[in-house]
Amino acid sequence: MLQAAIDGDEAAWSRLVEEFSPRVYRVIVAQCRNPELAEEVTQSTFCTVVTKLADYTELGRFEAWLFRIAMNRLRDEMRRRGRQAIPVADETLREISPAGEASWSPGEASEALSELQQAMAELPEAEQQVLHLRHVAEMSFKAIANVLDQPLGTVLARHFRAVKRLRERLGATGVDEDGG
Amino acid sequence: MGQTPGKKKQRNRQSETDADRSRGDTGMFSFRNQPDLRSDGPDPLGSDYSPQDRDLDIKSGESLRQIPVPQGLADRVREASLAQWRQQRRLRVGPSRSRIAIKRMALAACMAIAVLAAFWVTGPGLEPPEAETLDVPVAMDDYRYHPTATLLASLDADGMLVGHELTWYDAHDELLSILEAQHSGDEWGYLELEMR
Repeated sequence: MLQAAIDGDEAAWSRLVEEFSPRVYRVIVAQCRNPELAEEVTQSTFCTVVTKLADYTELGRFEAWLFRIAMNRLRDEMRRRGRQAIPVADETLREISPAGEASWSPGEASEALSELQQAMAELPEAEQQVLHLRHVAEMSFKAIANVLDQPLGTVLARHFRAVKRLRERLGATGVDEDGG
Repeated sequence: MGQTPGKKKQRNRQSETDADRSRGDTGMFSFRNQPDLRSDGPDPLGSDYSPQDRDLDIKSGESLRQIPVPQGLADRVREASLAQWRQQRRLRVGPSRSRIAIKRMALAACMAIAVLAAFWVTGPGLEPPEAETLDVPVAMDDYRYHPTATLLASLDADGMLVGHELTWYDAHDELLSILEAQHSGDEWGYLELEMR
């Protein structure tokens, strides 16, 4: 599919967009918590990728390449707008909160998700990035290291700290006690 | 919480990852995901993480993956990117044709120069090699008074005989000189050289 797109097949490119654009959007919106900006960055990312596609050599790194462009584009856009990722507001949280209910029971889903989202939003940006790329982009730690241009050990350490921090914060409210 | 098949699979993958690490496989990409479009997915967590941490990690993932995507996002992204792609192709078509023509002309010129140079170096020269000229010994004193010299002196710059009335004796002497020169290697060499 990718090779066909590289060769100029528009249908193949359309399939790539369908497969990857939701994931790119989710990673971006999880970080900037601004749906409009996330869509803009997603569009811009795919426009950039498609113009460079002819020069791309397929080595199995398309996904990492795509997300790296998306992350760089988001960083540039945030810098251009002169602001950093801000702590999530309640209404924005509700807007981007999961539609499903994960593994929680229906009664506790809303509150638990809200607290988990809040706790994740309060993590340092670097740790959030690792969580987002791991869970939303569904990437391995090696691929995340490539996207973030960081050593593998750094990425592993960030993830470890992120989970510990989440548990500390949620442990106080007893959210994760139910799942353990 | 009971051990689910999914968790067993995760543990197996974890041991695979640990084995990779113990072999020092710290490259950015393992052989497993080289030819694939997608990478090999999130790694399972190692033994450093407590069961509570693992569950929390799973819940975080479930939560993040369910972030809603706006309706028609893929369509809008596709249209925008395809428009960009088509525009880029149009822009590339013009300059690329002239670029190709210039490259072809340059290549043709290079080939022509190469062929001429090769012909000049390896082909028969328009002039004899300088060594041949020097190798022909000519006795200057004899040459000056030799009838052949007289004949040659009567040639103009183009090698044509300067027009004059040819008497029988002159022609006889000159023919004799040529015949003599044929039997004398030195003189014939000189004559041959001059006749060229």
